[in-house]
Amino acid sequence: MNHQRTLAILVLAVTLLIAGSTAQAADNFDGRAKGDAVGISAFVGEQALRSYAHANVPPTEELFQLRRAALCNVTSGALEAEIGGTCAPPDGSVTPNCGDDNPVQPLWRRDRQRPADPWGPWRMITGWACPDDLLPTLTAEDFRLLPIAPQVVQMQPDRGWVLVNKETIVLTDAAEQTFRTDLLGYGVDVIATPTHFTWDFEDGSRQLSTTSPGHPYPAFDVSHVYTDPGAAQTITLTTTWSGRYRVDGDDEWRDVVGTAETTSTSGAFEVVERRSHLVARDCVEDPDQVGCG
Amino acid sequence: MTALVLLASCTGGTPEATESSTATVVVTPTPIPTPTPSASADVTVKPSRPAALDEPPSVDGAVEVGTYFQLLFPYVFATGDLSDWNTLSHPDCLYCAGVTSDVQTMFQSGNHTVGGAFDVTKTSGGEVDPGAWYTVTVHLVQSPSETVNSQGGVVESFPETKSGVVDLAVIWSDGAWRIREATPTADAQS
Repeated sequence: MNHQRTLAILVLAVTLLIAGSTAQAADNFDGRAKGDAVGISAFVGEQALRSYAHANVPPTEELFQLRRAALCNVTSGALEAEIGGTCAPPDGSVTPNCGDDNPVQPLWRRDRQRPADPWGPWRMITGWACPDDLLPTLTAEDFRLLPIAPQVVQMQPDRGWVLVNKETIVLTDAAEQTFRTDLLGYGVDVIATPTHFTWDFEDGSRQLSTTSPGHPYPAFDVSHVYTDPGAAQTITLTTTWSGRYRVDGDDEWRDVVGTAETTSTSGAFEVVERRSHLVARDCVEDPDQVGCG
Repeated sequence: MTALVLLASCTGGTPEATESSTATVVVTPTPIPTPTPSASADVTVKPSRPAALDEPPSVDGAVEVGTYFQLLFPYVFATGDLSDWNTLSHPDCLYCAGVTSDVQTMFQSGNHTVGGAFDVTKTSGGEVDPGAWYTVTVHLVQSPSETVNSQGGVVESFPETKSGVVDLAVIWSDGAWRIREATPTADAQS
């Protein structure tokens, strides 16, 4: 009995020791969340390569050259045909795991002072990268610059006046909006989707926030009851848009990190009170009788 | 596991031991060997500021700046002095902000790091966008370290010597060097 208990305590103690030793070390040089330095440099390198290709300087006049190549070192086997000449030692770039994508070869650069000078050695300026690293990111700021058309606020009833103490139904269009834009020289398709709707009925009541754009009578799900009569009333809708984008040459849709907003206002309407009266005949036929008008 | 086997056989050999004496044996922690901090570097002394910080951009300058930034790492954990670290950190640098946050948390709880000096074994650099964007690679070895509280007691011990590589994006912007991002990768432990 004693032994069993001792062993149980021992196992607990050892378990605690193991748990303690696996805690993430704050002061270990690799012990924290990290950004992707290689990836963002690869993107800058790709921009440099694109502007180099775009400039299209004749080879005899070039002062620098940029090339992608897997290897550039005599000790590592066959030289790539594209990148002959002397090479600086490789700095051991690791081929990343890019999921289903094939990694992109390292980027190399060589320089010379004047066109007549011999070329300096090729130097690897960015290592192996994933294709995703080389694509521009559509930021929330970029997304907000798109001309997203504000939605139309629809009301039911829609006749310039609504009844006090009766439900006023509101709804809007849930349609996506598509855009074609340019991002750092890349063509980009963007889809904006309305995801949140905030309705301000402007009568002092709390704003109503919904994920539904509202539906028409009788299946309506967004409505408001005005409790006081009033003139020249409006309803303001703030729509929150989420975005997806696809860069030309890439088949993947990516989410925009962040949202955009649009604001719409309904036409002015009146909130009225109506009282019912018993009448003898139809008020249209006999508007002067007691209880009509 | 070694501790379990040794203690189990020990108690197994003394079946007459009372519960209380057994418990005393169990809760006594096994002494952890004290790491021997690198004698070569006192991490409480700020690394010397490289001349490149005040010179026009170049690949060599970027390598000096990137290396200096890495050498600041053990210094900020030892002293809490984040002045140069934060000056060099680009606002978008996730790694830089993570270290700043970790150091602040550590010093707010009264702790600091002893040891953990960096020994830089190899560096290299590349010019991605001349005069503006450089890649720097720093190979380093980190000495063992301890997290110590204000009374000098060891809170946590890191007895391993770790080696690895740090990839940095070092940029020259508005007349000053900044670390745009840094990504450390430890070598696989043998």
